Amino acid sequence: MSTPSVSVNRVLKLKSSDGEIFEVKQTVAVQSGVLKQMMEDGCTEGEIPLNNVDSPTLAKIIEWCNKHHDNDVEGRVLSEEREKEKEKEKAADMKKWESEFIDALNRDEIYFLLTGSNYMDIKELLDCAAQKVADMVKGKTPEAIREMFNIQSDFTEEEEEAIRKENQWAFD
Amino acid sequence: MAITPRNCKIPTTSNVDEDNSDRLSSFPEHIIHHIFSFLDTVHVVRSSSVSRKWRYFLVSMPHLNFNINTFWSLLGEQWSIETTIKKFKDFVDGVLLSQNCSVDIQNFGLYYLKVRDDNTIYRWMNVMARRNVQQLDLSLLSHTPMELPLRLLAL
Repeated sequence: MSTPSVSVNRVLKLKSSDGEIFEVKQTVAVQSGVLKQMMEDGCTEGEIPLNNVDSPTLAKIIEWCNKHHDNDVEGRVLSEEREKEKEKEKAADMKKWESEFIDALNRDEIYFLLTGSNYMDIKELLDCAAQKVADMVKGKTPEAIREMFNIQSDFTEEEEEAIRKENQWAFD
Repeated sequence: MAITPRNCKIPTTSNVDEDNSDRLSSFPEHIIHHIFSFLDTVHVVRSSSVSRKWRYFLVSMPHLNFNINTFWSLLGEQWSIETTIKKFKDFVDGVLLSQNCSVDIQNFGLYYLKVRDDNTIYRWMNVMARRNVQQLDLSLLSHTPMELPLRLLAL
C-alpha cells in the first residue's frame, strides 16, 4: 500500500458526532478509505468531524483498527522470518478476536457499527458486521426475523397468503 | 464500497424509542444487499416475506448464490436427486423472474448438478449476460464438458 504522506508518528484528531475527540495514528487510520483519501489530499489538519459516527461507535471502530494494525505489523515481521506456521496461528487468533469483538455487541451497537464502517469506508469491519447480521437472519422464519429486528409486517392477510402460495415452489 | 453519506440514513442516538425501532429496514439498500450477499439466496427468499420493503430487497438484489446442496439440506433432505434438481430449477427460475431485470448482477454463484441434455444452465447464463453480470462463480458436476455462451464471453 503506497501512502506517501503518511508518517508513523503523526496522529489524526477525529471528532465524533457528539463532540468527543479521538487521536488515531495515521498508520492505523489508513484502514479507513475516507481518512486515507483525506491524508493523500493533505487535508487532515485540525479536528476531522465525523458527523455520522457517535463516540461509543467510534471507540469500537478505533479498537478494531488498532488491533488489525498491530496484527499486520507483526505479521510482516513473521513472514520475513518464514514462520508460516505462526502466521497461520495469528490469522486464527485474529478470527477469534473478531468474532468475540462482534459477539459482545448488542443489536443496536452492530447497527451503528455497520453505518459507521460504511461511512468511513472500512471494508473489513463492514464485512464482519454484515456477516454477523447475515448469520442472525440465516435459517429464521419470517416471523422470527420480524421479532428479532422489530419489523412490522405491512402486508394484508390476503397478500401474506398469496406470498406463501407463491413461495411454495420452494418450500413444499 | 462507495461511500454515499448523503443517502445514508444515520440512526440517531437520542431516539427514546430506540429499542423498538426497525433500524435494519431503514438502512441504505446497498448495505442490506451487502448483508444478504453473505447468504445463500434461499435464505434471502425466505426473508423476503417479512415486509414490503424486504420483498423489494430481493427484487433488486445484485448478489445471487444458488447452491443445490444448501437447497436440498434446508428443505429436509427428503427428495430424490431428480425431484431436487427439478425443484431447484424452479426455484432459480422463480427468483430470476421475480427480479427487476434492469438491475445489473454483481455476482452470480451457482453450485449445480448438470445431467445429460439439461440446458437450463445456458438459459441462466443468457439471463446473466443480459443483466451485465460482473462475476460468475460456477461449480458444476457434469458428465460432459460445458461451453459458456458466446454472448457471455463477449462481455
